Amino acid sequence: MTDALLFLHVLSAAALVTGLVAFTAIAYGASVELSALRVYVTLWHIGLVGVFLLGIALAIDIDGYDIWDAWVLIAIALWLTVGAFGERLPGAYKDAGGPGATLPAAVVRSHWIAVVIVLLMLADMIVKPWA
Amino acid sequence: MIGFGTIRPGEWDIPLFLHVLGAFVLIGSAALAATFLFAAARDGSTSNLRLALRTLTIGVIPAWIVLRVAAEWIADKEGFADLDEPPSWINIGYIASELGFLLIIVSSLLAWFTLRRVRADDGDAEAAPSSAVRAAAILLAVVLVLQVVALWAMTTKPT
Repeated sequence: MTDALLFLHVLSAAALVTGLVAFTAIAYGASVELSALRVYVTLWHIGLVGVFLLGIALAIDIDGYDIWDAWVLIAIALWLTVGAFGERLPGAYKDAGGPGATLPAAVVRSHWIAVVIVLLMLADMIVKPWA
Repeated sequence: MIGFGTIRPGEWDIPLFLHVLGAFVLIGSAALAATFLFAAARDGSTSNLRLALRTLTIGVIPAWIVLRVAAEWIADKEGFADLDEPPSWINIGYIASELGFLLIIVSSLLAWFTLRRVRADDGDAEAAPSSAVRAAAILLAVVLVLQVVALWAMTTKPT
């Protein structure tokens, strides 16, 4: 059970990063078709929901870990912020008409904040501070 | 290569972080490159082909190197590098990463030769041979499947 939860949790994280990689390409000026963008936004959403629900399930399932452990609470706090920052770039790209769109600097900045938060989430999962 | 679900010695944190980050970026950039290649195969556009090549050289290949070097680093720290018969989940990881790299290189070469041919034809977009580009995209899709299998092996550690 734990193995399956862990696999799905990590697979969700991979889906989340896959969405983020596509958004990064757009931030660098790549033209991604809107139909493809929809797939990446879906992956981003699946990743966000998956890492959270499966992460909570793992914290409950594994002996020695609890939801109120510091590293779990840090992960939840980071998760709550990353959604808002990560959503802005694909939304703005779609609103601007897709391929060839010029994105406002604030939107691109939000994207880079989302990238940093995802890196912090990954570091938190591995270092597990105060575990 | 001990999973996320365990507490490890602190000195393994950096190689494990790089290994997992490399794997995630490899999956993401391979998916993106495949998307550009499938789009190029469909409409024969050189801009999508160029984007695919850029994604392969800036994203996929460096991510594979980070994944592989970090894997060796942590295998060495855990003592797996000295074993005559490493656990099967490590062998699955080696097969997935090395076969994956071969497919990435073949895919990159197919895309590069196609772009060169299109340029030689004076940038005639319709001249892009879609079969070679489609083959390059399918190879990257296989890389994605291999990475998911490796991810399964790393997290479930089958014996």
